[in-house]
Amino acid sequence: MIDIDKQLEKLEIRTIKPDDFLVSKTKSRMRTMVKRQDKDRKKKIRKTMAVALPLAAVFVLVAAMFIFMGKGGSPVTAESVYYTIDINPSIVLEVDDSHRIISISCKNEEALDLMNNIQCLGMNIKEAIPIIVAEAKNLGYISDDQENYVLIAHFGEENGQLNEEEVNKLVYDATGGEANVLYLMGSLKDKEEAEEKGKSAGIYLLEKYAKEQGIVDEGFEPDNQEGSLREDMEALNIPVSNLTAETEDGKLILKWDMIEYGEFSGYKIVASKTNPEPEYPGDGYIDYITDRETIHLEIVDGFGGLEGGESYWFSITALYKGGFKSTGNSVQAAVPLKVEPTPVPTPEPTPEPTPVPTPAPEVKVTSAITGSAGESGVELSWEKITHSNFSGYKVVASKTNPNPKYPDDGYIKYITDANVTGKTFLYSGFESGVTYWFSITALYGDGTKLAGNSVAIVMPGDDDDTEEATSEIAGYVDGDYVMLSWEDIDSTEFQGYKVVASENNPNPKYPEDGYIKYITNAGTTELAVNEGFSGLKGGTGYYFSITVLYKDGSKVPGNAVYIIVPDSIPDGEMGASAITGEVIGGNIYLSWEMIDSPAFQGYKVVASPVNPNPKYPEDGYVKYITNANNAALIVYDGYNGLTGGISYYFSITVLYSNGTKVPGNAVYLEVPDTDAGSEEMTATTIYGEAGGTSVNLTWDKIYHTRFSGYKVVASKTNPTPKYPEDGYLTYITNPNQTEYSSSFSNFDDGETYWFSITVLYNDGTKKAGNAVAIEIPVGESLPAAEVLGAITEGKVVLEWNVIEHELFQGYKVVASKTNPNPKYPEDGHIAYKTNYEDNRYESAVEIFDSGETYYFSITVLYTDGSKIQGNAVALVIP
Amino acid sequence: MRAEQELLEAFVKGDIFAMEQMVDTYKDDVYNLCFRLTYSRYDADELFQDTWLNVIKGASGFTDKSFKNWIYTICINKYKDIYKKEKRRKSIVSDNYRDKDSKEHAMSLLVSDDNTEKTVEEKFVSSMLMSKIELLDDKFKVPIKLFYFEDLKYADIAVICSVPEGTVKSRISTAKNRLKKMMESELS
Repeated sequence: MIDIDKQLEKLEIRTIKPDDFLVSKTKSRMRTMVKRQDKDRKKKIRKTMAVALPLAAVFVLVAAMFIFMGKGGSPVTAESVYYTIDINPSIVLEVDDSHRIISISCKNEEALDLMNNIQCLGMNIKEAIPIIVAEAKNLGYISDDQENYVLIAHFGEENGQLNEEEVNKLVYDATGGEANVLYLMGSLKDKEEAEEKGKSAGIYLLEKYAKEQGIVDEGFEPDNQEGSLREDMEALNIPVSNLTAETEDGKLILKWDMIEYGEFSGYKIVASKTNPEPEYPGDGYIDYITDRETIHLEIVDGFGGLEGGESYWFSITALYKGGFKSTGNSVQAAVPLKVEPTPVPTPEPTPEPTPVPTPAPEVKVTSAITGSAGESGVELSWEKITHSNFSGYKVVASKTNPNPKYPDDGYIKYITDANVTGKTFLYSGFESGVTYWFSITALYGDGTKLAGNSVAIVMPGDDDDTEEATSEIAGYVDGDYVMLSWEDIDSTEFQGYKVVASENNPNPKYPEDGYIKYITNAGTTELAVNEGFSGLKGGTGYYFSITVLYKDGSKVPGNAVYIIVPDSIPDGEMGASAITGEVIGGNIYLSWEMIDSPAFQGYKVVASPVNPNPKYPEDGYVKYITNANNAALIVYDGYNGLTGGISYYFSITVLYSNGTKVPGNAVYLEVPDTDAGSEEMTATTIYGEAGGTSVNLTWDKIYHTRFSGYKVVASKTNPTPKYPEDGYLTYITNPNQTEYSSSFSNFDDGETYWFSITVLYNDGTKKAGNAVAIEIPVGESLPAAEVLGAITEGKVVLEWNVIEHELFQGYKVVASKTNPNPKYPEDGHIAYKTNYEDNRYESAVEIFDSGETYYFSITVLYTDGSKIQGNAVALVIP
Repeated sequence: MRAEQELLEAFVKGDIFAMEQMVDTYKDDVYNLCFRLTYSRYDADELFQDTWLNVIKGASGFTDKSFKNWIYTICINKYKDIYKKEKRRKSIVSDNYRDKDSKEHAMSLLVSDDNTEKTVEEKFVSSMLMSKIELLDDKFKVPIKLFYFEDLKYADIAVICSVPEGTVKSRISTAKNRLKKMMESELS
């Protein structure tokens, strides 16, 4: 018997050192990388007008991360990579080479409103896209009562960018499948062209794509330049398919024009008894044909639920990739009644004639299929049907049903020519390594469908013969968290892990028990969950397990572990929010207590005309706000269904991450009955002065049903500045916020600026008010540091005077081999000291290059942003 | 030499001189790990450089308490990336080592001083044990090596391998069971 512990402990392993050359080479490569990073960072840092969002605490402004607002484009560098998202909000996201978001540009007000509620800076693009799309759905830009489009575009070098499948899945998961997704790839040049034309880059690419696909004419320009993506899609005016109908041999035959261009998806054949202009999806469909060349359909009594003897309106909706669709003309026609055979009278006896051979009666038969895996595809052949009432062959394929038939399993090809008894289907249409069953369903003119035998064919796949393994899970409690970990799956067929949790089932699995997390990265094999995570309740035990999904559709559940989720959110931290409200002019101004809880999820603003204690979800809601600091709302006649002249009980239901919903008090207020647009839209009056360290502005509040926001505008040259011509410093959407301050460091010393407010209204009206002129004082002369330096006992030693100043922030110790007057930030720094009394620096000479002369200086940083460079000393490194 | 805390703060802020001092401080530990993972001077050199370059890339995100754990994590992750690519290319592993030179290097790691009292048999078992360790999956091999070769604690290994401490203990235990079975099977 081996004592393995002892054997392992007995192993005596030498230490082995790296040689000096390797270490030097490594340091050299590190220096090169740092220099390159500095250069890249400088390219990305842009001075901009910071958008002062009311909830500035939510956003962290760091050196390379700003949020842009406006139609102007961001400068494009050779390394820039962008993703754009167009729904109605139009957003541009710049990512670094790790696919993390480093800047966000909101191209319209809707985008700004949306991004106001979420924080994506620094997030991986894969995480950010579903968050943004989900928020768009939250805000009503995606809803189940309309056709929804999400356009995502990638601009820049193709290097590890998201693929179409990933994007489709991200949006599908975020919207519950309620949006059509189109993912396009463009170049930085496309983005520049779009910006030159003042268009959203994504929409510009969409138009280009539509033209390239032949969906629209080359010369097409959409009428709607400023509208939502939906309006743009609808404005694209895609050609349609002309439909005719005729009756022949007791059948109604529909025929239409073939769609020859574009990434065609299929024809939806639509029928309606009542709508003379039926279209898919609104009126459903009776048949869906994916074969572009199949441009006719025979309809008999009972087909698709149609009744013989009844008249219908028929049309064709053609579908394209990305959700494009076009519906053509409609025709009205009656479905022929099924004709019952009339009884034949008994013939009179006649003399027996000379026997004449009679033709055998026709029998409807199936068609036997054979097939094999050929070089480029599946080769199928089948028996010819010679019946006079033969209608067509439906070639059916199924991954799951060994006896597939039409219509239950759909079809991959419809062939009406009886003489065609074979076809090859390319492998690209099937999943590698998966077995498919193929069969032929023969169709007859009277509606008879006869399915024949099936043949199983395995699609060529990887040589790896990987078993579909389970993943063993383990877990334990650590503080407030349950720490789960499981075995990783190393298989080319791997698709994802579903983390499953069940209170009652000791062997939970997906899909029967749902899931709390879906992970598609095979290397991610752990998860920390806590109370509130995907609805988990604190103090409750769950059986956790992993179901592994494979590309062939298999779902392989593993073992389960039982763990009680810690009760981490004290009840006291889940409070209600007290609401108040007042009617001013044509608006109701609601405000409520901000909730400061780590478990906070959102406020539901509830309004009920009858319930004095309204709450969500029972009474619905008029607005859902996920930002804890956003605790105010203006409502008015027509706002999200509110009616003027009616009184409502308004309240706030606070949602917490563990699923708890806490309703608060209610206020009873009548919504003013206003005729929207009859109130005069006015500008506001601004007042301002130069304070101690900043410009201080105030203005009169605007009370108007259509108020949208205040743009604070500043100009050095225009005494009557206004938005948009003169840009803006900040955009304030809270009508109650009527003051703003900006540090002098944001302006040029000694210059006079004119400040004004442009009021925006939600119908697009902009009203610019008066301007105030404020002179920016010349800054006091902030002290510099005088440095002395020497080489002493093998060290570089620097000393300088202590800076005692109320605005002191720190000393940057700067060294340069080339610049005799080095300063921070241009020459970097070798040390940073924030203690004003720490006025000495020393370092071993070995870290510098021997024999070289270095210039050392101190740059003093001040909290107003000033950087004061001092003198420089030159030292020769021995 | 500056205090390590000061060096770390400067390092996180992008101070290249501080970074170079960190290289000097940790070069032996990191190189040892690189070699014990790869058993090849050439590959260890490459892994060593790649590790430090990744340290630069991730410097601004460094918030760990232990720089050593953090750099070990980077090194092991880089090693796994390389190893997975090699596996996909179906590189030939000879006698459980990457190549004959690797085996000799691995064997040379064992202290074999003629003045020791180790018997021939003990040396044979030791060398067999070394080769069996290489047969383990990475998720077992790495914790075993970190525990027995680098003398790290479970908590540190958990941080480096990004798994819970319980999982580390479980994997080392599983690894030892497997090694025991393999050894007993071969020796019997």
